[in-house]
Order: sequence, then structure tokens, then C-alpha cells
Amino acid sequence: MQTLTQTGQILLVFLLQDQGTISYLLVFVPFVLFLELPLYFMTWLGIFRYITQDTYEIPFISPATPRVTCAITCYAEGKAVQNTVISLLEQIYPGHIEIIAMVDGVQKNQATYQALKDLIPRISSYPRRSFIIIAKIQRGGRVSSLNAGLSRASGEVFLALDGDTSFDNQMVYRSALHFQNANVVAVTGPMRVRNAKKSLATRLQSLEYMLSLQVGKLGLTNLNVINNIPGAFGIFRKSFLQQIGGWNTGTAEDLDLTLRIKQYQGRYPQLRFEYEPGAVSHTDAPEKFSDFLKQRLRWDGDLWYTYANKHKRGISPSIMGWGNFLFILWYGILFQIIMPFTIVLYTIYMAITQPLPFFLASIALVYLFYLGLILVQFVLYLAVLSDRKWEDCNAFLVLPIYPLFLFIARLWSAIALLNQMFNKGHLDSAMAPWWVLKKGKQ
Amino acid sequence: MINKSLSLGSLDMSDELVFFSHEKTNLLDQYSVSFETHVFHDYVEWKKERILSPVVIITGSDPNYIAAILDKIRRDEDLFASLCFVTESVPASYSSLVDGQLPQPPQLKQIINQFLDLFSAYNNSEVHISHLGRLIKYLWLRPNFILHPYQEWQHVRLYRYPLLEALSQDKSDSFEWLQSLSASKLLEPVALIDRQRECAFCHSSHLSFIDICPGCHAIDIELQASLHCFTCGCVDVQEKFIHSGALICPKCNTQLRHIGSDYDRPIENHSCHVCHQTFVEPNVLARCTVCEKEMMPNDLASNRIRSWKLSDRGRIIAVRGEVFDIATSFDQLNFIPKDLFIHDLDWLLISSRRYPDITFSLFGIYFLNLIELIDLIGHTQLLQMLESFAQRLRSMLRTPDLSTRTAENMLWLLLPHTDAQGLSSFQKRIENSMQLLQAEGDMKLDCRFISVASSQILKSETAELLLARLYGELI
Repeated sequence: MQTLTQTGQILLVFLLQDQGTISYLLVFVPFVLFLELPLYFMTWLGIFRYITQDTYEIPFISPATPRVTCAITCYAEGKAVQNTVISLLEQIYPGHIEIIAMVDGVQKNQATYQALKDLIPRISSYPRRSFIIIAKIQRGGRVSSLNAGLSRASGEVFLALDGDTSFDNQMVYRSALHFQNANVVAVTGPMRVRNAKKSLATRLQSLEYMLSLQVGKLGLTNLNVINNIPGAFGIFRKSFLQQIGGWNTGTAEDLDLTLRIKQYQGRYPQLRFEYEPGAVSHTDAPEKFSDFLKQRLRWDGDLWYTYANKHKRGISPSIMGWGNFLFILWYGILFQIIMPFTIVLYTIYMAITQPLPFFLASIALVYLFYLGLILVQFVLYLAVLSDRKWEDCNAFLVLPIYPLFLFIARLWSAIALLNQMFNKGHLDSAMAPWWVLKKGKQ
Repeated sequence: MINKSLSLGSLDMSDELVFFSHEKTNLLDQYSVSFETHVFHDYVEWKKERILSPVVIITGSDPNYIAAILDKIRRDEDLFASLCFVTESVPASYSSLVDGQLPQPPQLKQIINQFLDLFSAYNNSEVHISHLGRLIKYLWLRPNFILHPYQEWQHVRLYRYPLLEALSQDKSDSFEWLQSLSASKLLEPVALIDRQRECAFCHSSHLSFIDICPGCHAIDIELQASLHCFTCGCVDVQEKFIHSGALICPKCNTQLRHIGSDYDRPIENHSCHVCHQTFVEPNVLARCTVCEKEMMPNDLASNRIRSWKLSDRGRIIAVRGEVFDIATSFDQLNFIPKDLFIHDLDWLLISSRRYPDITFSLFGIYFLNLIELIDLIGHTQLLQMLESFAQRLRSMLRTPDLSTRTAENMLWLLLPHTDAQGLSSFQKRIENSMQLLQAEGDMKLDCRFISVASSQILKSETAELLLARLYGELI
């Protein structure tokens, strides 16, 4: 109790009497100034660039509607996979959409396979849509599914999609438009959490998707650096995809592909990634915190695996160009790998060296700082970007605990990285059988 | 008509060749060395002379000419069964009426000899020149012939059997005839080629299927893609929702982005322009394009299109001129079907177990080399041989003895009131008679016998098991 009172007093001193705040805040400077703020600043710069473009440039819309192939990787989704296919059939797109559903390990996933087969009679009622099911008897993992789909694809534009993701009915049209520019090789769009209202965990993740994925991606793409084309929702020019050889074995095949495209960009700087805010996808986030942590353990571990093992030599300015190199160095390495450790170490350092009330006050201050930052971000997002403003307002409910969530996520990220470094976590992935993963570069 | 009585089969005619040719052919020189050739310009010319020959050759490449001659030959009362060779290709619908391309003279000689051998085995006694008789004769003379249907889209039933049409002289419907042929077990199916629906009234397969309104049966119906807005509940056709590449509800102006969360599709998406009813699925009506009658798809007749071959029974008729089984030689001795035989044997088994004074014996005769003998001595001689064996057997059997056949070459005799002693003397007599039979001819009819008396049969055995066990011991 006494500690708390002291903490309050310290905070009061800081906030109201403005004594020593400046010097104290300077402690944060290395973090905030060098790592976080510039990123946010850059992101918003990109967003405003997009908004001005969107407002003042009259887009040239040609009547060309290329043939599109939607490849869905299916595993144990069961009946839920029907939503994905139906949302693709429902696309308002005057061109042909070919839907290829790859069912991996079909003997084990009979329910998924049956759910897909049940859809076949419905296809004929949709004009210019075709449907192929690839039943893969031997389980080969996501990469093998995607490459199988790529080999069967007949469309100019190839969409790599997840069986648990569904799409707004303008997604194909809006994303296909980008490919009129011959330099565009990949497009992605906002991912929204479909089951946001299910639990606290999904609400928090929903907010995270809005702020980091939507805001982050749009801003970064407008500067022609993008961190990742997500595996659940990537749109590619098929000829380019075939040229770089499709997906490579190992986990985090999406990040691996993104990095490989970036390396290609080093030689052909005119190639572009784009982000289409109108191509909206909806995916299921883990409903339980434990599942969320498991998912992140994989994602963050794969990050290290990809940067440190697979692309150790690829991350250099000579291969991917200075822009991409600096961005990866800063965002990928510094922000995603070094920062989690720094935060953990710094917090521990503070806890040890500072008196408890002072430590708590600092934490509270940090919290308030982030809360403010997030609030600004979120309001901006609502005002400028959100396509479902009313629905997104629900996120205000969890906004106060969101900084805490982010902190835990960072901590966990550090653990995930350690797990990968010392435990080779990538060989323990549910994305592919172990014998496939072993064939990847270790 | 003197030629007719000579019959096609007399061996002195084996070197006659009838050529049909409407143009000069140099084939004649080649064949006139070993054959006596007769050349006719057309069927009418032949009819004046009626020279019979086992082989007819049609030369030339004019499909109409070949078709016209073939039509006449297969419908002719004397020539219908002759081997018919061509020198060029034939129209597809006629391919089942010819026996192939003309072989070289030596091979032709060989083919004619085989043909005449079969011909002499054919029992011409009942020359009831019915089309049934013609068909059996035709098939008998071509041992591996398979009667294939010919697909022809112009035909009402889509398939026809040109050979059946020719042999029946176009007097009967091929499908009806086939039905009666298979019912009387003269032909047996080889393969199922198609299964098709036919008009229940005229058996035409030219049908059209029409979607109609389930309410007023009008055909003026349309598939309408409709949407159902979740926000205001508005249901309307899709066109009214589409505005500049997006779906916007015409009533509440909400943008509908995602199926399942903003909107869905009502199941009823057909509408009738006559009675304005909307419905999920239209009814289907089948209309015959030939007789123009309408019916429900369930009422359509189903027709299986098969290929056929001559059955064993058909072959026996060919030789005997009547329904023949080996069993007919035993008909005074109560030849009975297998099922009945098993039933009686079972009954005797049960009786003898209950009343020890009831005894019986079972005697099996297994013919080892029937097939080899057919190749060696031909059908006729073999059947004669079997007939004389059956006669001897007949003299040995008593009135209550029963016989049956479980395979073409497996004969069973059920001898009531015969104990082990009686059985052994019966076997001795049979063996003696067999030796006598073999002494008569130079070919050996190879038989194996097995017998069992009721006292030797295990308690647990049933008739079927017993027959199977004994058969197993024999082969």
C-alpha cells in the first residue's frame, strides 16, 4: 500500500509539477526516438501519401480483367473451408476466377475434403467461376500445397490464401487492378479478425491487426518497403512467381518468399509490392491466450530462422538494395529481434537498480506514454483507414489494456527467439511434416 | 432350286468362289488357280444362276455397292451364312456383316475347311428357315463371333444390330428379339455397352429434358440470382444491388461486403414468368422428340445395350437341331436341375441318418478332355460319342435313379437303395462299358469316376458340401 502511495506521489510530481520529467523522459529517448517513433512517423507519412494520392489522383481503370487463380491451402478446417470458397465465388469480378483448393493429407482430413466436394454442385450457378480440388494423399505441408496449386493455376494473377480466411466481395477486383502496372509483382491487403467478439484474446488481436498490420503495411508499402506478404493472403503475378520458383521448403515460407522478392528487387528496383486497402480479408485468430502464445512462438521463432539461417547472406545492400536493406536492418532486425531483448533487459535492469516505487512509477509512465501513442494511432486509423468504422469502435473497450498486451507480446517474442536460437523450434512446426522441414536449409 | 438341296456344305463345293464385282479385277487370276471362280456383276445376276459357295467376295471400293450386295446376301435364304470377304474397307454400319478382308488363297482354303467342318456338324434337319434358325446357324459357323451393337445417332433407339436386321429380313425389332433370345438362353451377354433412357411410348431415345415451373408447369421460367440484405431484410434480384462494382442495398444503402455477415443468397432463386411463383428447384419433364409425348423422367424406360454371343445352349441347338443337353440322353431317367438334385440329395442324407435301413449312393462322372476332343475330332463326333456313352449309361440306370450336371463336363447320378456293395458293382459295369466304348473309336473319352455310399458320408456334410468335396477330389 505504501509502495503504491509513493508511486502515486512520484507520478504526481512528474506529471503536475513538471519536476525532472524531462531528464527522466530522456531515459526513454534511445527507445522511443530511435526505434519506435520514427517507425510510427514513417508509417503515417506513408498513409498520408496514400490518402492524398487516393483523393487527388484520378485512377485509370482499364476494362481489362485478367483471369485470376485463387489457391486455398486446406488442412483441418472442416466445414469452415466452405466460407472461404463461397466468399470467393461471391466476388464481384467480371473476369474468370479459378478456385483451386489443395487438401493436404486428405485421408486424415476427410471432413475438409467432403465439405469441398459438397460445394461442387453450387459452382455452376456462378458464371465465370471454376473449381478444382487437389486431393493430396501424402501430406507435404503448406509449401507443397502452394506449389501444387501454382503448377495447376491458369490465371495471370495468383492468390495464395488460407482455408480459414474469407474475403470481402471486392477483394479480387481491387487487387487485380494493381497488376495493370507491369512492375507490380505482389499485392496484399488488410487482414481483419473475423472472430473478434469471441474472447478478450481475439479482441486484443483484432486491435493489433488493425494497428500493426493495416496501418503498418499501408504506410510501409507507400514507401515501397513491406515487411511481409502474409501466407494467408498474398496476391502475386503468376509469371513472376513461377520465375522465382514458387515457394521454398521450410517454415515461414511467406517471409522467405518476401525476402527472395526483395533480393530480386535489388537487381530490378522497378519491381513493386503494393498494398490494397480495399482488398479485405477476414481470418480467425486464436481464441485462447495459450493458443495465441503458441502461434507467436512459431511466428517469432520462424523470423529468427529466416533471418539468421536461410537468408544470412541475402540480407545485404548489394543483394536487396539499400532501401530494403536499411528497412530490414531497422524493422526486421532491430525492431523485431533486438528490441524484445532490450525491453526485457531494460525492465529487469530498472527493477533491480531503481527503488520499487520509482520503478512502478516509470512503468506507469511508460504505460501512459504508449496508451497515448496508441490512442492517437487508433483514432487516426478510425478516421482515415477503417472501412468498418462502427464495428471497429468496439476496440475502444480493450484499448486500456492493449499496451500491457503489447508488452507481454514483446516479452514472449524474446522467449520465442531464444527458443529458436537454442532449440531449433522451426523443426517443430505444425505447418509441414518433420521430414519435409528437415529438407530445408538448417 | 436344285442347288439348294445340294446344301452349302457338301465338300465338293469347297473350291467354289463367288465374286461380286462391278469393275475389272485382277484378283481372279490369283484365286482361279486353286478355286473355281464365278464372277457376278450384281445380286440379280447371281440370282439367275444361284451358284452356292461357302465364300462370297465383294471387290471394289464403292461403299454403296458393297453395302447393297451385303444387304442382299445376308437376307438371302441360301447365302446368308456364307463367309463374306471384302477387298477394300466397308462402311462402319456394315462391318458386322462381313468376315473381314480377303485372305490369301492358302489361308482362305484353311478358313473354308474350318467353316465346312462346322457346317457339317450343324444340324440342318429342321430347316425351318425361321430367323431364329438363321441366327443360330450364322453364329455357329463363326465360333468366336460377338454380336456388337452399332451406334447411330439418327436411329430412334441410337443403337442397332445390323446383323439381326438382315437375318430377320427386317421383320422384327432387334431389341425385342434380343430379349426373347436372352430369355430362352440362346444368347448370352458379353458386355454392357450402354444404359439409356427411352420414351415409354415409342422407345425412342431422342428425348429432350425441359425445366418447368412446379406450380403451373409453364416452361417460361428463369434463374434469378437474388440477394438478401441482413441490415434491412430486403430481398431482390442481384442486378438491383450492383452499383459501380460494389453491392449496395437498394433499400437501406448499406454496402454489402461479405457473404454470411452482410448478406446471403435466398434458396428460392427460380421464378416463373407465367404464375410469378418463386421456387427452389424446377420440375423436369422429358419430351420424346419422335412421338412428342411428355412424361416424367422417372417414367422413362431403361434399355441396356449389350454385346452378345451364342450360348452353350445355342451351340447345342445348332448341333442337335433341338434343345439338347447331355442330360437329354437321360431324360427317361429323370434328369433334374441342379437345385432339385441337391434338394433330393439332402433329403436322402437326412432320411438315411434317421433310418439306417435307407441307403443310397452318389456317383460322379467327370469328363477330362471334352475341350481337347472338340479340337481333335470336332463337335459332331464328340456329340456322337457322348450320345453312345449316354445310351450305355441309360441301360444301366433304373427308373428311380436321378441325374444332374453341375458343369459342362460333370455328371452326377443319385442311386437310391444302393449300398456300398451295389455301388461297386455299378462302377465295375460302367468301367466295362467305358472300355467297350473306347475300343470302338480311336479317340479316347477320358473319364474319372468318384462314388460314395451313404454309409461313408460324414454326419456333418450337406449335399452341397458333399458335391463340392467330391468334385474337388476329382479335379
